[in-house]
Amino acid sequence: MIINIFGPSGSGKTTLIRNLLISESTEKFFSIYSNERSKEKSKNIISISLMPIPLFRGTVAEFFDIFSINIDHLLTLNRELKDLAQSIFGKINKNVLHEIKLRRIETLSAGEIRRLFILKSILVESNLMIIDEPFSNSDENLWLKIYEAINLKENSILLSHFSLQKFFGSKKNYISIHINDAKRL
Amino acid sequence: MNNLYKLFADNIYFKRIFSIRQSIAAYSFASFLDIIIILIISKIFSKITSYDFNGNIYQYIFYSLILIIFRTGSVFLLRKFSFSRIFKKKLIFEKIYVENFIDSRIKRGKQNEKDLRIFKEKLINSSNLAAVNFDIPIFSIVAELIFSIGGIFILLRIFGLNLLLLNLPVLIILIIFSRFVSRQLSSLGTKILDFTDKRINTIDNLSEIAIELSALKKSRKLLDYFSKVNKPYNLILSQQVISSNMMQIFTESGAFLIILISLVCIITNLSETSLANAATSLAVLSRMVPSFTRSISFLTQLQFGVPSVKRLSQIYDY
Repeated sequence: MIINIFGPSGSGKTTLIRNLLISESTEKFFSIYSNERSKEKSKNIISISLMPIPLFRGTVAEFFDIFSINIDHLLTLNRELKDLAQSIFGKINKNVLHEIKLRRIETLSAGEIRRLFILKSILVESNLMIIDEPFSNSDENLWLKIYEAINLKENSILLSHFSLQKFFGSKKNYISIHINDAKRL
Repeated sequence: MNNLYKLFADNIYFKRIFSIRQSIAAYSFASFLDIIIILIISKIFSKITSYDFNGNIYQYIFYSLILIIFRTGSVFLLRKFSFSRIFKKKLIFEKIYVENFIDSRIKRGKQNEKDLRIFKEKLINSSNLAAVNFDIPIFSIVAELIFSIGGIFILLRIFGLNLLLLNLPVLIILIIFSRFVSRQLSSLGTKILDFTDKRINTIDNLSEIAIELSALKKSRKLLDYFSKVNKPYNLILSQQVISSNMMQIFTESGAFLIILISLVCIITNLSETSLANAATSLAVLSRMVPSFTRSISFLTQLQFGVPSVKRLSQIYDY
């Protein structure tokens, strides 16, 4: 289930999420819209990727290791995640894995870094995922790949400046809410 | 002559020493003043301890007190001037590093990341280390040596060459030990620069992604990542303090031995000196021996600052 909060830049989407995180009410917020029961606080493991993109200076291996993600899993990803990973590192196979591990993150483009943080948020174990502006810095032809990868996660909150409906049409697995409506809560 | 000038002009250490010449001059002048005042006070001691003294002792005590107060005030002011100049210079240098960094950004291309790390390290660490472990030891060495050499001449005049020969083994042991600690400090000085680089980068990364790990309730890996750099960094710092402290203890013991040998010389009248001369020599010894041993300590400490000066002198080769 994806809850898409949309609204123009500067409308307070990220601030809303930050406030929900501070008050530890993110899952409660999610359950109201998704009609799912709120989980216990102790289980609130939230995978987030907010804007602006963090400036991580180090290798891909270091980055994956900090988030307890086994980098070798890049070889066994399903189609959606593999597409997303390949949009960052190019073709992924055993021969290039070592090269990828040693690649320094600061040498990636802004879009690639954005997608790397999304990939990380999906791969890491959590019961809720929050992604801020997942399509920024990426070409339109990659948007569907990003969306499909995010869609693999059970519960997600996705912040964007346009409604998902506008780009992906009406699908059952997401609800688009304007930021003003979300704030009213 | 030209080659000699070129050698001095191109040498980063000489250039740095030249840039702190005012501090060196002020600190050396403080030492010079110190030894002159000690000599005047010693003369007063000689007068009041001589058998045929028949003047007003209170007047001489008053003179001595005035001289001691003057010595304390003037030496304090001169040293204050030296230290403030060093940090004023540091401020100017740091402004130049920032200016240099900004000006070179557009031309550095792929070197940007490396430059950024070195730039941060220079401002946070090297700049401080160079001031504390190079500039200050340099003018301290010059000043303390002026005092030591002056003191040696006074003592040689009183005791002859015997005292120097008797103390020579202690001095040789001190110099050998100082060489050993210097080498260790030099290597630690280079290592601390690398680890400061890495530490700054780790702290930057940590602050950037901490919120994501906080939401995930997963701090252990990030702590491991930080400890991997922070542990060796602190180990180097502790080794540096231990080495410096070891040198300090050793020079203190050396000072005790030098004073002991000199006292034996006075008591056994090995150099057949008078009571007045013995009083002078004690006044000089009490200030000269710590000064001499401090010079050796400063020389050792200098090795920790040398790698920082080397790094600060690096300019971008575009």
